[in-house]
Amino acid sequence: MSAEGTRSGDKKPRDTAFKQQRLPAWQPIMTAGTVLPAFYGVGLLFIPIGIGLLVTSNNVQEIVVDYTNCKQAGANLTCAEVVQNVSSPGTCMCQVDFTISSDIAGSVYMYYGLTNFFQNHRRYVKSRDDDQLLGVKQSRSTLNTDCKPYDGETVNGTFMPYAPCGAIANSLFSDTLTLSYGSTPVGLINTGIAWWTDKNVKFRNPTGSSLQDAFSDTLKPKYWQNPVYELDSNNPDNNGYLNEDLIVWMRTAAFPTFRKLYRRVNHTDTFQDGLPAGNYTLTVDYKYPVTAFDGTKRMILSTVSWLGGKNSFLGIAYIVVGCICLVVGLVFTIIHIKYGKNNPEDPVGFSAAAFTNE
Amino acid sequence: MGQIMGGKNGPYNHVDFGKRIVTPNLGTPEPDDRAGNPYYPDNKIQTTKYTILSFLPKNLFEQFHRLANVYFLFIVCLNFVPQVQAYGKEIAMLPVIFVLLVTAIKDMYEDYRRYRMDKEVNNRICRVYSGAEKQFKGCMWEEVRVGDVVHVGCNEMIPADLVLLKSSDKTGVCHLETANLDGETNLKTRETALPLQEAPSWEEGEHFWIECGRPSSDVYKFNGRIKHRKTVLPLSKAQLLQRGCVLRNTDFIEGIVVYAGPDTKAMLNNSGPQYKRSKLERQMNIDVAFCAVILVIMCAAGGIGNGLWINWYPQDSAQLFIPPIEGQSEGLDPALDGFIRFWMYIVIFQVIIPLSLYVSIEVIKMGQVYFIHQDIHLYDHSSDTSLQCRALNITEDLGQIQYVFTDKTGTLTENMMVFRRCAVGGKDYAHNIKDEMKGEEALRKSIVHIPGQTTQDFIMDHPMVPEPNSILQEAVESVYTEAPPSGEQGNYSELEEFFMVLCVCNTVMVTTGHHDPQESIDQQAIGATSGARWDASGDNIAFEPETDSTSTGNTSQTTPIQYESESPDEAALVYAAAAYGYTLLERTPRSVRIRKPDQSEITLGILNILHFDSTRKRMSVIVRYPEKNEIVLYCKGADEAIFSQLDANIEGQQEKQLTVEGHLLNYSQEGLRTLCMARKVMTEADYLTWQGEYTKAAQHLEARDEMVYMCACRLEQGLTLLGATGVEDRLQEGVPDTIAALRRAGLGVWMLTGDKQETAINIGYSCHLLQKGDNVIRFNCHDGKLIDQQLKEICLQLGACGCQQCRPQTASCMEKLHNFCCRCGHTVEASNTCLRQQRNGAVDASEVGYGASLDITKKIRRVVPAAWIGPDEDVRHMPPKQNSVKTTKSLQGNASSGDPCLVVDGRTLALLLEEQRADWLLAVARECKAVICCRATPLQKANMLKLVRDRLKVMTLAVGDGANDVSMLQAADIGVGIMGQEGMQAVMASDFSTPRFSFLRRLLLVHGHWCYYRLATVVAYFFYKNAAFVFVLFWYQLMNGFSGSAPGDQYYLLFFNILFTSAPQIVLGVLDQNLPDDALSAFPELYAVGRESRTYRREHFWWNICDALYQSAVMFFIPYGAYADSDVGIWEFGITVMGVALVVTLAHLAIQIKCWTYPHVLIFLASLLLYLIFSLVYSAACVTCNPLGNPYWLFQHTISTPEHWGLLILTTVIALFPRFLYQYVQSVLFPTRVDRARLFTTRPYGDERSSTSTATSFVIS
Repeated sequence: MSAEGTRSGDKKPRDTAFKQQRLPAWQPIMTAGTVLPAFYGVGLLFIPIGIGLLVTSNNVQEIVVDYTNCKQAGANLTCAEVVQNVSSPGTCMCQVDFTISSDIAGSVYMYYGLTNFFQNHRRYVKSRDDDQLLGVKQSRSTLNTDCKPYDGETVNGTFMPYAPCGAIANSLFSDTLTLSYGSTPVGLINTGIAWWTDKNVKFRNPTGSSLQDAFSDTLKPKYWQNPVYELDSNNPDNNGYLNEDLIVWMRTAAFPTFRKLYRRVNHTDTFQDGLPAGNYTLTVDYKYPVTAFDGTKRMILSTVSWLGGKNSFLGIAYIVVGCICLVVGLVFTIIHIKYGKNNPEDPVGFSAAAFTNE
Repeated sequence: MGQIMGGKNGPYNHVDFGKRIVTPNLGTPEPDDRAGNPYYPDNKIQTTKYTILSFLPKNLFEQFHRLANVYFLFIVCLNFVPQVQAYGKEIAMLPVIFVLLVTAIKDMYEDYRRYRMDKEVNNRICRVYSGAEKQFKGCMWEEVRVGDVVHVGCNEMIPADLVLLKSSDKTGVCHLETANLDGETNLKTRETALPLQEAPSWEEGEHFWIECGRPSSDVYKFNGRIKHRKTVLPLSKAQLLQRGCVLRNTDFIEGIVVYAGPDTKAMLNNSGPQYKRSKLERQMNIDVAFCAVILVIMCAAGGIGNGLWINWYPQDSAQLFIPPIEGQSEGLDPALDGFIRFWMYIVIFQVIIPLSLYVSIEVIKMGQVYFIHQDIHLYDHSSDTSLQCRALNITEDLGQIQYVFTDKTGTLTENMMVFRRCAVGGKDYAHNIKDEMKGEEALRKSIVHIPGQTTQDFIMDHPMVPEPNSILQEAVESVYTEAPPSGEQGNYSELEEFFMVLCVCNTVMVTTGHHDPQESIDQQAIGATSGARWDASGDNIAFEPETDSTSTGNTSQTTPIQYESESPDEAALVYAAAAYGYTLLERTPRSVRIRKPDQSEITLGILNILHFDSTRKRMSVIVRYPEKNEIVLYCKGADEAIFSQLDANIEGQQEKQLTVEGHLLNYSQEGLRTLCMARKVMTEADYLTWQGEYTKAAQHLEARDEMVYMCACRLEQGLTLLGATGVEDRLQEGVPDTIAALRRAGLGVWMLTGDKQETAINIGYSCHLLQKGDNVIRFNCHDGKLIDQQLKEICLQLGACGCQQCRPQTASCMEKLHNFCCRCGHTVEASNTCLRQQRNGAVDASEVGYGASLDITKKIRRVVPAAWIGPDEDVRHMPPKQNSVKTTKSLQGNASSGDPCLVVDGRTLALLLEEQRADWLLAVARECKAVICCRATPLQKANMLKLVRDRLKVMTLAVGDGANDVSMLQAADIGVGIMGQEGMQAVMASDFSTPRFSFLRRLLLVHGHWCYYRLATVVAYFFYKNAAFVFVLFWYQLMNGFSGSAPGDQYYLLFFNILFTSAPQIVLGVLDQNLPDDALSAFPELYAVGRESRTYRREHFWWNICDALYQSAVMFFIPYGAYADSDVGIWEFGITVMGVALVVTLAHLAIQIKCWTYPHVLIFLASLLLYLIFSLVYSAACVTCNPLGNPYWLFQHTISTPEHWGLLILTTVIALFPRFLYQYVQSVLFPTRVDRARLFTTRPYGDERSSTSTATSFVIS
């Protein structure tokens, strides 16, 4: 039931640019005049960027030492074989000698690298309890169920959660790496390797009269040899959940081949100008088994540029893309010059005008 | 069918459950205890779908009828299974809830609007008789019940369907305006069934009952009877006052409610437009199914991959690092884990089936409809209406139409009838129109006439009044001056009788001055009223006969007479009769008063009116001449309908018929609508016998219409031919241009009309559907056996299927015939493609040289700059020798015949539509430039359309204005109703309603093109975007042992589609223009893009999927390369990949936008900003709120690294490079017509839109 008819003109639409779809517009048109300069522009922009990136990356010096199969000191076994027996982990010390052929200038960082380690596996990734790591004391009911089966144990009828729980923490990288230049030990700092926000916001120790007391009703994770409050007994600020090795490990890697920052070389006393060329010895307290899943372990010494570590991929990619753009631009310029201009069948001539313009 | 009257047995003798007996609610004291009619719904209407309580369950129930929503519900449920759970339980519900919420809010708003309107209507006040208080009492509409007696005053609305019992008019008549019901603004007459003095008196609580049929939506049908005291009388629609109509010209009426509320005809007709699904959407749904297949393949690949990986991964160490399957204490079973992963992947990859697609498309279409409504070019000033989209979900179909089926009368023409010629007494008389005014505007204006001129009689000033032919005028005058000529047959004057038929044999209403009651102070209110308001005191008709200019007497008191008619033809005839002095002064249901040229007035009793119907094609009025006491049947109708009923025994009848036929032929060749007039004298006895039968028939409840029809046919026999008339129906403004434009756009335009063949052909010529030199094939064959042969001949004449392969040049006739039969009988589809190629000869180079395509090319060249047509397609670019040969050959082929045009008449059409000939008909019809079907019934129109639509698998559009076009409009993919003279029936059934035919040009060529382009682009983009996103997730599975890890936080995964990337595509879908409107309108050839579905086809879907595959690989592997063997964490990598995906998909959209305006820019910036702000806030907000990918400070950390930005730029360039290159190569080296047009229309003017003037200058060149 409509209303009574209205007087003429009432229903007339308003004549505004928006309603009549006549807004001022920019109508990009793909012509040789607009697109070819874009190709050249991208090419000319990308190649220098790529070169810059490549140079930066090449300036990063990197020493990689694979110590997966290093031999136990004084024995004929490889440490891998010794450690493989998870149920009765033996101790295995081994040494790897390597040479740095040229001086490494600037700050040097030590990484450990793993391969074939699926830290990004879905069930692995979520097997953690962030609240627990924030210092909240968790009971059986509040503990993240994704931590199972590394959630805890029932001792004497009471449930004691692992601290920290979950598969990530359980598989904490446990090798200890030390480095010496000839016979001079290289000073390694185990702090300042985690994100500031992680260290200061995301990870907190639970409260207690002492650190040990704070973790009183927890157990050490299944495969750990020491409880969490003994991760760095020397430095209370780097102990418990605040231990930076733990924090770094807990930030799971994106790919099965990854490296994680382990130590910073102390450049304050001996090695003020970086690491000089020469023979070095890596001493490993070998605890971490990787051979069972065909993994490898590496120690990496690397400097850092503004771009991060050594990776020439980005620079090369930029250069390649830039070159392709230039080539394509060139090809189409030739096509355009050869066929575009003298288009005899164009009676109006505006397509020719389009080609020659700009 | 026999026994109808139930005089003895009362109303209960034939029980029918659909029948209702209504007794008046009188005398019972309590209003709630009204007796008698307990089962019928009351007058409260409720058009709302929901109540507050039922909204949630009902709306959800309806929404989950959509397959997509069910799918997403399934995903959510799947996510609740602990082993499968991929996202947080609550978080995973967010997108679905978002979508449901948006739809629910939309539904709620619509329902609330309905509720408000219902409330307003329900609370209107009317007066109902209260038995307790013995008087009429004010009462809300919703309280009115069946059986209530209602009092309605002048200009008030009828609250429910009433049977008229009492009227203030002494003849028991009232006048009704039914505009709200059917849009007709002329007044309808309703009369009481009982004689006035017998009307029941409420005060005495007099009892009576009414029996009527079950409620039906048919506005024009009401049968029943009333028993009062001893008499039983039939009721018909003449007694029914329908809800929503307005009482006019009558002081008051009283009636009893028979149907209330939801049972009323107004409500039953209020069904709203039916749901049609657009072609693009149908196509899209298939592609969604393909997406589902892709999804299953990916999930299966993921599941199997997972099983293999576990198999490969050493078991003992796996236990060390990888937690076992949820719920199991230890171990990883490859098969079980793979199976679980499969379901988990379905949850993770769900977005490849685009959830937001359906919502976005709805929003886009709403926007498109908004802009169509706002288009000032689709606004008709004279009627103050603009084009209305009644169906909101098929806007893009406007751009895909291939065939247009149009009605003629009222659609192509004005339906403003002008009396042009008449043939009477063996002579033909032509007429001119007074004040010949050109154009619709003038005609419309003059309808609102200024009755101010004192010296001029109003009637004579009316534009529809013809100037009397002087010879005829003299002849008419001589009838009265001279003695009755003895030579005439019988004792009547053929001339006078002819005009009497014009005067009497109709249902024209006589109305007097149009004075608005509200504005009655200003009696001379200039143009104050349209034909919609009447003075209440309408019964004092003062009329000054003014047939000659000498008598300029006392006209100051004159109230001018105007005629209102349902059929414009009738009005034209009455005006014509008035021009010769036969003036219809008054019409009541029982009588007509006529003034003759000699100023004598005569009142004829009307005994019966046999209304026009489309089967009989004639109408009759039986009148009684009081002085002669003679009963005469006046009949007018289509020529064949009259000729077949003539009395062959009367002397001279045959010759007269021949002469009249000759005249009629001339008339129809001029494009006039013809009618024949005839009469018949009856004896009293004959009439009484017939009347008995007729009354019986009229009272029959079930088979009334058939019986009345048979009765009428029985009476309309043995007629005497009087003469014939020719009435002109003017073409609407802009019709020829519009049709020409539609034809240039490659649309097949078919005209389906009920008119005569000649009339149709002539209108065809005048509206440029046919052109001079065309080979018009008239196909009239009423013999089922001959028709096959003729059809074959026509096929041969046309050269069968119409494309080169199908046209064997050297074959003999028999071979041709054989070929034709085979092809057209069985491979319509194949030849259809041929035809399509042929139609687009200008585009497909291979078809050059073939006659028809050459012809089209030529035609296009006339109007399009040649450069628009690709160089190799242009005939002139051919080597000259070959060129000339081909040209001559094709010219020879066509020289003999011209463009073939098929004209079929109704009876032939009936034969042709039979199953075995349908393919042939199509084969012939497709070959023809234009097809005209005349004398087609409404059903034939619809069948023809369905045939074309279903067999050729094409998109059809039907245009019509009348009730006879309704079935055609509903059958078509798009029905366009013209808001014209013939009421709102067509508009009600249509998807789009337009005040003018010529708006079709802009609607199709501009808005249709835009809507199709926009939506097709968006849909293709949607599939690409979702697929690309999902493929990125898939690539990551290769890196994480097919474990279902996602790079990136689950919020990003879930919000990517519905939050960050949804708005820009909506802007594109609503606002983008690949070409400005003037270019589209000036170059209809551009319409081919949508007509041939060039923007979105199946291959486009797959290309987009392939592109998505490539781009996703780039989006994933470039960052992977940059981050390989570094200390990057999974979430930082995820942020980079998500950022890259966002930028790439947005940039992908950006390079597709053809026309940047500030909303585009704003929305793009807003989307990016939203992403940035969301990420920053989310990353800073909480430390442990999201257990899976603890986001704290992630985003801030990631965007502070140079790799992130370097990757963003690099990846975007690499990902979009191929598409950009493709677009460039395509638009520069292989430009489509649209590309060329873009180049042309935008280039020289930079940001400003091209001016039409330059565009047209190219047309001229």
